[in-house]
Amino acid sequence: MQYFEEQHLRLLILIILLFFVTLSVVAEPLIIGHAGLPTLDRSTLQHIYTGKIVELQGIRVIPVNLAVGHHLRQRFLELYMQQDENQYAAYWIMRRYVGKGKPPKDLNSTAEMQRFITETPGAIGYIDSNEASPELNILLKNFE
Amino acid sequence: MTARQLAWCALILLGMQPLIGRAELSISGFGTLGGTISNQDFIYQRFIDNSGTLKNDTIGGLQLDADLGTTWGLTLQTKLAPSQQRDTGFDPTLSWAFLSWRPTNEWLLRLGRLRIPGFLHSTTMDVGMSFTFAHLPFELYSVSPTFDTAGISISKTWLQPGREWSLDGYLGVSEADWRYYFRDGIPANAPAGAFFSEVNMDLTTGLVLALNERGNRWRVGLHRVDFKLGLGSLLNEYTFVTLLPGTKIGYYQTLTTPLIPNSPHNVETAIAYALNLSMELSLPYQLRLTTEYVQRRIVNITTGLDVNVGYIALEKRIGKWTPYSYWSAIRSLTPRLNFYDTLNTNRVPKLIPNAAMINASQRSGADLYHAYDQQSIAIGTAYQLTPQSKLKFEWINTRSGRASSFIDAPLGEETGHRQFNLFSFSYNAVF
Repeated sequence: MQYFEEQHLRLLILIILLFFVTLSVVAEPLIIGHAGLPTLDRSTLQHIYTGKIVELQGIRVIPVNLAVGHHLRQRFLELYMQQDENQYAAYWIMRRYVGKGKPPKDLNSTAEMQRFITETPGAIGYIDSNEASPELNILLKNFE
Repeated sequence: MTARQLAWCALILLGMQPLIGRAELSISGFGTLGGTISNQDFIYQRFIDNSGTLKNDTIGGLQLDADLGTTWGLTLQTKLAPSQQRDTGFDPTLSWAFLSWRPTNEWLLRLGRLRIPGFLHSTTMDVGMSFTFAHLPFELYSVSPTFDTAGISISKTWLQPGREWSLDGYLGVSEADWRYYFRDGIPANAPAGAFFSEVNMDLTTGLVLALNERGNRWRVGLHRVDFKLGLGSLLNEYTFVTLLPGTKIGYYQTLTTPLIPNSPHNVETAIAYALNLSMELSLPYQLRLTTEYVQRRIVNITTGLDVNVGYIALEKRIGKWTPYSYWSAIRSLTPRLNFYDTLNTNRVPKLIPNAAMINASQRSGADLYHAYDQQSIAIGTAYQLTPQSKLKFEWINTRSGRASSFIDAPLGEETGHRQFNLFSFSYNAVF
């Protein structure tokens, strides 16, 4: 009986450990921007990615996305834009063909994203929170 | 593509050439390949009968967006669609060629050839991916022969937490072609069938106020168009000419009879107003309710084009499917319908000289006068294949009441009191 109780306890600990390991693997997008850009709230970020805000405190903003299908893009749309890919695409189809702008440029990787943001004044994008480093200008994180 | 459209394009490209070389260019496109078939042998909406047609739904377009610096942009859009000047063939058209200037978050100015913010979907009506229905309610979206203008558009936006107000204004000139259909024609003068007349709009202007709030949208717009017809003068009154004094035997002077020179009833430039009210509501359970109403009045001529038209639609998103249904209707003002009936049925006896021509002029005059009394019920669904493509299927049942100028009635027949079904399928995509 004591043996079986120990086995159950070990199994439970293993399950708990696996749970936390899994949690740490799920991508959490972190909003970053070129140096000099101010921190944002969710509403402002949504307006930027829908083309309704094009400048912040006199700085022309250039939002960029990861490519369609990238897991971090999906998470970004879900957490920050509160949309899925179909809804986001539908919005930009409407806006482009109303003649009021075009969607943010798509980049292929978070490394390319970081490079673009570092080199381009006004650029805004997102990376995996696991890739955060002190030199990045974090504009919004820990979305709740 | 007309010479004027090409000139607009060349002018803008030449003027912007130094900037275009440094511009970031983006090319996109849209297209719909679709077919519709009716269960009746008369033609509806120019192309649809029981032979089926691809023309009613097939269209393709390309758009070039160029960022010319941080606040300036250039947009060109061309499309290939069924000709608006004849019932055969496809014509390329320059839909848009405008410069845009976005100096701040709140202001957007556009100059050039652009599409006016007419009704809820009129700006994107060529892009099947931008709306759910296989066909936008035809009764309402046929109110204007064009939604394009060459001029200036100014948009002001007020962003508030959870809410966005916008005010769009425009001013320009435009041209289009209006299709007429003679059921019988006039002997030795005009054959039965379709013909097209230029509509020159010397003034197109309007204001649209919109509110977007948490997925809901409300719009109110007022538009004015001053236009001339290639047919010549229009009439603000249809004078009755008595042929036998003391009797009711005579004919109405219409656009198909010789007009009296310098008559006070001749009108060179007609003035039309359209009031549009629109609402889109996001309801629980992924339901969406849309309704629009348009009132069109041409204030200085007498015509059946004075109409009230509207529709109400309900759609529900179920995974990749979005089934929907709508009811739409259009009706000319009752006095206009009454006069259409009077004109359409006015006859002189055979003993009157040129009776056949006179009688034909009355029916043809009624054709030019126009009359609308029609309603449709549609049931359909869209299926989202990918974020950039979808399929659509639709059934529409349409009934005409007293008359419908959308129907090409066969020789000697009437457009009213008909019922028919349309079945359509389309593939829509953007890239």
